[in-house]
Amino acid sequence: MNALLICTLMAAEPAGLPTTKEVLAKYDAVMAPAQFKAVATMVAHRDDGTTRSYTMTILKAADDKSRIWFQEPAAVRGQEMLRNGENFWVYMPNLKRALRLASRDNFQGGDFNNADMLRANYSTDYDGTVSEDPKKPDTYLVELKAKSPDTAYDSIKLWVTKAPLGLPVRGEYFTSSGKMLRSADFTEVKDFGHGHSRPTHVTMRNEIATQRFSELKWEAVDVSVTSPDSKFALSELGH
Amino acid sequence: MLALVCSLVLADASVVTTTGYVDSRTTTAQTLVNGAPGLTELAEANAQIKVTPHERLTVFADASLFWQRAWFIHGGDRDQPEYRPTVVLSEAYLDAPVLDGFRVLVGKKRIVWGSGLAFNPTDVLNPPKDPTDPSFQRAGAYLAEVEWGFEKVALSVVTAGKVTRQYAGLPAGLVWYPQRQTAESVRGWVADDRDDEAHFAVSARLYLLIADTDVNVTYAFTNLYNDAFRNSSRGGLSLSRVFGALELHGEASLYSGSARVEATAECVDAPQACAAAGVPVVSRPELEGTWLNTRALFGGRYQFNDSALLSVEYYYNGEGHSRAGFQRLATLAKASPALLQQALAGTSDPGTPQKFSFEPLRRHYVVAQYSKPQIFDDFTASFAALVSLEDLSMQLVPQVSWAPKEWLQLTVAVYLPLGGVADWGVKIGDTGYGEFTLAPMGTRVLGQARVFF
Repeated sequence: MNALLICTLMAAEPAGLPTTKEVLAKYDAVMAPAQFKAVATMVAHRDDGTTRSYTMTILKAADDKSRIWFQEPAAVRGQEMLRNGENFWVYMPNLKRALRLASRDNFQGGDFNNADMLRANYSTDYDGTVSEDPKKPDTYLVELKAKSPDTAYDSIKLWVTKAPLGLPVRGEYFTSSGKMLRSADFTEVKDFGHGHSRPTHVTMRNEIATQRFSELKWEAVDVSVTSPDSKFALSELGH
Repeated sequence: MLALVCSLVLADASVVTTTGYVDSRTTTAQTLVNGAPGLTELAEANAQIKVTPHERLTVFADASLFWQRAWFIHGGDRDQPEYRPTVVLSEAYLDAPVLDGFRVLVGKKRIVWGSGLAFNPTDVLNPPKDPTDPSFQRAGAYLAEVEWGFEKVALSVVTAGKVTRQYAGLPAGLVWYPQRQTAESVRGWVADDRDDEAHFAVSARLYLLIADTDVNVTYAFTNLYNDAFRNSSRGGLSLSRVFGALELHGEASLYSGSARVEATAECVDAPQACAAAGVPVVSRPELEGTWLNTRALFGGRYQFNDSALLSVEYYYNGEGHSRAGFQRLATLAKASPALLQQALAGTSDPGTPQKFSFEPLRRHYVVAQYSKPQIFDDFTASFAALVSLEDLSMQLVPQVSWAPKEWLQLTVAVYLPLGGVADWGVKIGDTGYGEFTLAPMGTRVLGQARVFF
């Protein structure tokens, strides 16, 4: 049924617009390059106005391998996360072992979930349509439906720049019932070298608990880094 | 070797990561037997240091200094050896990934391959953990490991030596007992526990990632290592997989015989008379048994949309007693707790002092843990229940934690033992007991403050 709906929507895509495949390929190249090493900080803003800050190093290789090391705060230092294909694990230093995670589990108690951080390959996980949005004339609106239930969200509305194509500006993330779970604003585009520019500031708002939001700040991104596959083995966690 | 390590550690290119905490645990308890303290304080200073002087070498140490003291001791204040200051060296090892996908590791390390949270039936190496808070035991074993690890397959081989003698948390004997008899046994205060055997374990694990499932197949050969089995082989299997938001796992160990300690029927009511007559008060009649025995665990974890986490596990303990056997052991435990404790002792290195220590004596248990973060501000409410299904006695642990700062965590927990169904438990004299009400302490209240750095 979903496939039929998507095919129908795709067939209805107006001429002159980029295809969904083209837009998502550009989006993925910006937000989840094939390989990179990055340092990022997530600041979770709580209902009461207090914040919690997490600093991490992120390593990515190929489309489906990612690993995160947490440096701050001290309470989570030594914690690691790993994604390999459909599999997610978290290494807990206090348990001295890794536990399996679901992609929809939230990330460090903030408003991002594990898939937002470790599985941002929309070309693989989503399909949909591209259209113009009269309210945001500089952007295309990409309406996405999940290809499988393993994805973080059942549907997404994504606004990306027309020129250059694919830089995200805003995202809205929905459950299967159509309820909006999260919304994100992407700002402060920066050139990190090696031809890689991306928004460095993502503000993810919790649309259920509306006082809460989380910010993700990309401080350094190096797309020239290559990593051996052995870095993404489960047995590597904790070493 | 030491000079080489020191020179590498001090090299300019070294990457040094440090973390640790200072922790205070204050516990008040309702005492039930002589020797049980009404108030204890346990202060811990922990440091964890990781030095990577070279991409092919890491040195790691996780050590704690404990100061502890007990007051209001049931039956009169006295010196309690288990509440003396101590050191816990949880881990200290050299880790050398000499090739991509191949590493050699030597030292003390906690290695856990099984998927169980509260119990790990396949774990033969490590000190026991608190099933109501498994994150509290980080101590490992003295071992050497070689491991070939790749994305979807890994093979690990470990050989470990038992700490045969330990003082204030520091080892004085490994694999073999020291030649000298201890001063306490010379004076006749405790039995001379020495033998001339090698106390060791060799364990191997094959990890496979098949159909998005973690599969661990293990084999262990042990000789008087953490239990009474001699030249014992054990096979094990562990599985873990996520289905949507639900994680399911199972872990089982298969071996022959049982190390179960059984009370000699005629000695239950008069253990001192039996001991004087040379009749063993306790024995392990099934130790050489050739029948297949198992310990197994099945469970799952689920994270709700509000980030609350629920974990439920069922544990089958093939070492557990029948009701009659448990009745005899419980009667003996009440009459002579020290004698029984000596018989049950498995390892001389208990690792980190646990908030709740538990040696399962029956066969069927359920462990449930639920935590809901941010119920208000940074308050987390959690609840753990360890239930013996054979008498429905249980240990309940409601707990509230508050993290007012990123570096500070405050916790209040209540340890509440409940007796279960009286007719299913045991009767000693005129009093009925469940498994969890046989402990030397009743309800306990624990206050904890931890400062991370």
